[in-house]
Amino acid sequence: MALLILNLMVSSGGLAWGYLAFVFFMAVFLATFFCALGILLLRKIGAQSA
Amino acid sequence: MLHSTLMFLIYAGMLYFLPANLIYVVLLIAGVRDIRRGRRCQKTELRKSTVPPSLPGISVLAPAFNMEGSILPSIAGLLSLDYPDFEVIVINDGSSDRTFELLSQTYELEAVELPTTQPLCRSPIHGLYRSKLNPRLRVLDKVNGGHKADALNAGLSFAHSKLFCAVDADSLLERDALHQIVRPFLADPDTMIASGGTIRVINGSRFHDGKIEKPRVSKNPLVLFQTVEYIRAFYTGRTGWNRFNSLIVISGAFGLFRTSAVKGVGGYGADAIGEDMELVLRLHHEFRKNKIPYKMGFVPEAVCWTEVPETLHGMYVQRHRWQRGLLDSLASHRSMFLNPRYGTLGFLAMPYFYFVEAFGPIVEIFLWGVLFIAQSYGLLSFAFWLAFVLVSLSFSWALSMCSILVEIHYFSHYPRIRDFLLLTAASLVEPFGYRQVTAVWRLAGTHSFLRGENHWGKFKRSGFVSGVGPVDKTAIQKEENP
Repeated sequence: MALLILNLMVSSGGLAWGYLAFVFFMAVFLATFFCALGILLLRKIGAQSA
Repeated sequence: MLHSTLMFLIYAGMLYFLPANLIYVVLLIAGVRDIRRGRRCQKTELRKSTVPPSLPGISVLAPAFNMEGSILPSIAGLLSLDYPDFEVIVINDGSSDRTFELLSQTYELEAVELPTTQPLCRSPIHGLYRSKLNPRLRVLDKVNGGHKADALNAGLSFAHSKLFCAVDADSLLERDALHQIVRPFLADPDTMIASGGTIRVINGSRFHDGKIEKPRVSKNPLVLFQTVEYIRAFYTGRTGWNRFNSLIVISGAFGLFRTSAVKGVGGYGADAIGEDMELVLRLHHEFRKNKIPYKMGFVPEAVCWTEVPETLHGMYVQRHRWQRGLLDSLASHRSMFLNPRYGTLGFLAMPYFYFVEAFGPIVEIFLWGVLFIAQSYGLLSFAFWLAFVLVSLSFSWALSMCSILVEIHYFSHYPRIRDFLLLTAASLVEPFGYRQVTAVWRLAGTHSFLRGENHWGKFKRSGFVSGVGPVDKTAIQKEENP
């Protein structure tokens, strides 16, 4: 998928598609990172208050 | 001319990676769905069951070769498993160290008469022993056959139970691992022939008497990278393929099989380098060819902890063997490739393992080489190069982080925030060098396979000695006679 978008980017002659793909994957990365961190923090708080 | 050739190669490479990356995403989604389905089924079973199901007997086969550093805690861990009906058969595969001596002294082994039936293994068997202290333990002493498959076949010949569980003697099973891995056999008692479990990295964790006390992530970067790899492989790979009923790898470190089914196909392939994958492929092959209904399952909750190499040389030896084993198994069962008789297995799993797993490293190295040459000759713009690197990196990071999220949300084997941050850091650094180096090792494995090398290859393990005291005989007796 990453490379398809990259391919489209190259054929369209600009970097827009490439940056869009990069931003999308980074958004997925950051969203999952904070989601996982949130789960761990909530569990820690829950364990401490129990 | 050079420009057009290089651009053609770059686009061909991209066309190769497009379906490969798409499959990773599909497997991740399918894997999560499979985990959720498993959880739902487990809850339903618990609600429905008023009496505990009768559990089939299991023979645990543990081949051991020169494992004096880890054999005692490992066997203590196996003997303390929480399961009503099981036996442990340790196969001492011609160890030249004190493996057999330690077992003999600690468990007070005594020789028993060998059955007259012809064993499945090729190399001679010195003797069969049973423990005076623990009736569940038997030890088979044999000449090294050069392959792990031969040791497993020897153990299989003496397995009496309906099911057998193949484990590495230097791995630790979680106490409920047998209860978990047997679940598919309880759900489908007539057709289920094999089920696999998850393998976790033990390096860095605290353990005592063969039990994991505190799971931890190692600080060794090489181990950290492998931990991320294992998480990705099991939560995006195995669970995903299980969803498509096309599981073709059940790890040799922890897999449960119907004894009659494996004996029926002749046991493990005697010369197989990747005996675990070859056996699973052969079971698929034979059962589908003969139109016998069967199923294979994967239980992510069934966990086995194993030691991974901590040095570059150890990793080289392991990856080299894995690649040769993969190619050997695929070549042995090439008739299933794109064969409509084998359904999704022939049309999806086999092409994936051929093109992505087996030939992926070659294409990857080739594509990076072409990109490097094109950049050096000024045929590629910096913008193209940058975009390629950024998109590849961000995709890799997103996939790794999704797998880590699955691990934390559904399984939580590493509950500490520090461990999570270490895993995140490893997934960020992994694409810079580690992945390329492993691709080169796999390429070397491909070269060796094509030259006909078929030795097994073994890396030196540190052993589970740290944090574990010597096994106390009274404790063993207490465990058995509470």
